[in-house]
Amino acid sequence: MEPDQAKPKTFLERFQTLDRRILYVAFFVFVVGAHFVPIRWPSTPAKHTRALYAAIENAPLDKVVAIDSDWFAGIRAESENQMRAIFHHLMRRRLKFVILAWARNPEGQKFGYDIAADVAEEYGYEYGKDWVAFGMVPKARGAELASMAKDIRGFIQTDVYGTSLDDEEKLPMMQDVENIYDIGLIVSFSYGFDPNWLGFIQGVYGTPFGVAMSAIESSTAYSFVESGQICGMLAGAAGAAEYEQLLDLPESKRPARKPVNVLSISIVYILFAILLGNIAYLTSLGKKR
Amino acid sequence: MRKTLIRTLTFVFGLYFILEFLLPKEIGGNFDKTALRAPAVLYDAESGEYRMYYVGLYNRRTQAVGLATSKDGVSWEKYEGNPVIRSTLFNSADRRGFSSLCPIKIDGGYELYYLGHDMNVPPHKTICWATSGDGFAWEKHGRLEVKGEIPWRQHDELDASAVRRTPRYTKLQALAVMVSDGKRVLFIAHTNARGRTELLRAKRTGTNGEWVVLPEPLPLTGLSATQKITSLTYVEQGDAGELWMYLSDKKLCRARLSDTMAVEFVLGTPPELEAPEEEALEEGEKEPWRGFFRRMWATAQPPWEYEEPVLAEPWRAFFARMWARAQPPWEYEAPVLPEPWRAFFARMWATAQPPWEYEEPVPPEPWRGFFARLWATAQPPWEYEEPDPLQSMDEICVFAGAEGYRLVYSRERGEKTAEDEMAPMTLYTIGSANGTTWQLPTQWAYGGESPIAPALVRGPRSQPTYLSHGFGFMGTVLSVIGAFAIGLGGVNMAIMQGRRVAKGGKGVHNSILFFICLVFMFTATILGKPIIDKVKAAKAKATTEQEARDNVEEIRQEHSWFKFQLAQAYDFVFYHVQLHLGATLFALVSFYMVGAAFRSFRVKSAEAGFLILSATIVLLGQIPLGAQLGPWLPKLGGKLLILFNGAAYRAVLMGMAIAAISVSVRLWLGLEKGMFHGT
Repeated sequence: MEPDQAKPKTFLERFQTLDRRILYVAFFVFVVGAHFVPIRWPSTPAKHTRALYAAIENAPLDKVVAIDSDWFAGIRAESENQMRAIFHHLMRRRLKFVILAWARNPEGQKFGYDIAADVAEEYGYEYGKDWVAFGMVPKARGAELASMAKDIRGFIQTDVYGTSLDDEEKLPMMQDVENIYDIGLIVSFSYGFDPNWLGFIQGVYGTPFGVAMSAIESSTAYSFVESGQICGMLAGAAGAAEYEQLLDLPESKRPARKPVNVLSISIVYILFAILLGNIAYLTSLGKKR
Repeated sequence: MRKTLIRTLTFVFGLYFILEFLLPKEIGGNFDKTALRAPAVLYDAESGEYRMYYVGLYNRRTQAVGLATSKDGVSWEKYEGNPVIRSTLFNSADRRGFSSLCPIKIDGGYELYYLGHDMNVPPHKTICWATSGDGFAWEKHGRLEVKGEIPWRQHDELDASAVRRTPRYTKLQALAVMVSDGKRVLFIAHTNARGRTELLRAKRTGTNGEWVVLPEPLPLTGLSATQKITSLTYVEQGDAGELWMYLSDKKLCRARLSDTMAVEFVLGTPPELEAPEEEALEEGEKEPWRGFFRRMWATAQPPWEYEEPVLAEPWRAFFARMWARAQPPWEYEAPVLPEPWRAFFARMWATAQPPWEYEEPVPPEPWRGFFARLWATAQPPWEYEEPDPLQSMDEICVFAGAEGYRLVYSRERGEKTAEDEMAPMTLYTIGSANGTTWQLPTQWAYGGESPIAPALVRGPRSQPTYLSHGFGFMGTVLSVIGAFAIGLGGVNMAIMQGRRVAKGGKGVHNSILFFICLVFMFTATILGKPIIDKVKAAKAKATTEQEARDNVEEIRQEHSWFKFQLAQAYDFVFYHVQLHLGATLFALVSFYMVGAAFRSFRVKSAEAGFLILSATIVLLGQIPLGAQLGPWLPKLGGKLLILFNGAAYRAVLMGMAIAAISVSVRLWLGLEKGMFHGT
């Protein structure tokens, strides 16, 4: 038997090999506990959040806004509140909008529709007249976007209920929507934004394009926000909270506050874990030397 | 043979998409083929002519400044060397267009101040300027440097509390320029931080040519909180100057400047439109055309059976024959119509081409407009509303003409078609002796589109390319291929899992579960989803809960028990299993992150130290807690993301793009043999 193996491990050495289940349980307790802590840190709207706000403020009233609902349950904590805040702004300005849904991500259609219907009730928005949720269409690459840009009704064909977009009686709003020139702004809600929107729509037709995405993927969009190709961005749950602050919504209509608190506490926990891990590592390193 | 066919198809499809992407949707056409807007007139005493600068739109985002000249301010002729100023693609000052042109002649040269547009980058509109020696060849100088309090630039510096108080962004509305005693004064209309229209002045100092904004805004008495200034023009009338404003609610206003620095500045009463007096029109001028078309439309009665008043010959015979025999007009024997009517009807008959797309010869206004509207809207002629020019203007400019005032305005002309990005616009002009009542030509009462002859018309239109027509079809083809790819994925999965089931062994239950889920969801989607869609539509349509229940019950009765249960099972599995499983899987990632943070993020080198430090700053900067620790933290986090992360990410993107091009070209030319061999 080697002499080192017989030597009992120090606290720091044992701490370094701490059972991960303890970490997980502690994390779980922190996350759940954060839901019950009534913290109200004020959000400072970032420049890119304010830019998206300005883009919606400047969106023409005689065109519709296209909402690309390309998100899924995994990022619900971030995207749901982002979308809710954007819908508040659109309806406050009485802008008409359509919700795009893609077959690769069927959950996006349900979420987009449900949130829009919920907010629409508050503002008296009428389905078919003020907003429409499109049926799902396949989307592989930019060619589909390019095709849609030239003939929206022909490409999408039906709404979420299977009603033809040419149906004047049920969807009167759609009769004024022919092609991309009838779209005043596109806001894409997704995990990570699809650059095909820039290559095939924004770059070709100049339609303003904004994104609302998960915080973890937002780093990929900063270059495009700075270059002006993306007209504004909401990054994660914090972006949603910032937008709610810009809209000056009453406290009861700011659901993004809670996820932001949870996010803040989770990040602090992770940073604390990094710190502890490194303290233990560096201290044990010093002892070895 | 098969490989050659696939290679050829790949090449042809690739060539098609490359050409389609590279070629514009339409080819040719003048810079002002879509619309003429934002007129601004300058009188050049030396040449004794009026010069009108206007913004010509090729489409909404491709704009240029054109020039037209006139001796009398009524008849205008486009300058052959148009456009005189183009937008700069890589300069954000006017990348997306121009508005509010303000030309002046000063110090033997010309200067043009304008609002440059870039709708992608806030603040979207900025003051720009250009100079010229002769008014034809211009040199742009980009954004005008204005010192002092510049409220429209402050939005970037607004703190959180200010944003909360003033959620609206400030933005520029319009410009006007005045020259007084050789000094330039710029009038700047903008939306202030409270969302109200404000009129500021900026002066150019004599010594170093700097522009300074005067702190006190001009009082805009009578302007409501919602009114915005669409167009602003300075007109010099004798000793006093006037500012003409066209407001967002279609009101034309005049403000007198008794002093150049506006000691008394009050909005004048809106000018009125002076309609031509009815007695000035002879009865024959209005009728019989209006009545004729009205009757033909309403009664579908053959024109020759009309009682008086009827049309004179050859019109009566013409319509009678057209009605009775449906014979092409150019085949008529005498009496025939005079030109341009004969050619007009012949073309309309033969080509079914909308009248507004005709080249010359075309009938004069108001007939051209009348037929254009009849064609486009199929609306009964007697329901046409008389468009009031003072209510239908888009942008205006006023200048001192020979007879007093002259107003040039842009307004829609013709209908927007599906291919048009925006409604076409043309410039018109009307005059006034006193600026209060505007004289309209007597033929105003004819109806139809504006009888006022356009001062300037749009340039020739562009033509669609052959490829444009097929693109929609190709998009559908790709969608179908995409759908097949999804099916192919399912088949591959089935083959792989089938082999595992056949072999048996550890984990075979997972493969069996896969087949159960696949068959269940496939069947439920095919049979159940249409029923669920119907149920949802019925529920949405219902106004009461009872009605919704009845509607659902009706749908239940229409379908078999099995199908309806399958539909409900589909709904349950999709919304109550798949969604939550997805969320759960994603939530698990956070636990892995915690484990990795504790075990792997170790400062084992200087680089690792920098990585952890920057990650800490970025993470804290993105949450409200970070701002509580110090305002520098979000700013520093933002800098790290934008500067360092942005630079690295761009480099990665460029590398990826070059690699993608390389691989694509190899695939396209059939050099990448692997894909054709299936290896």
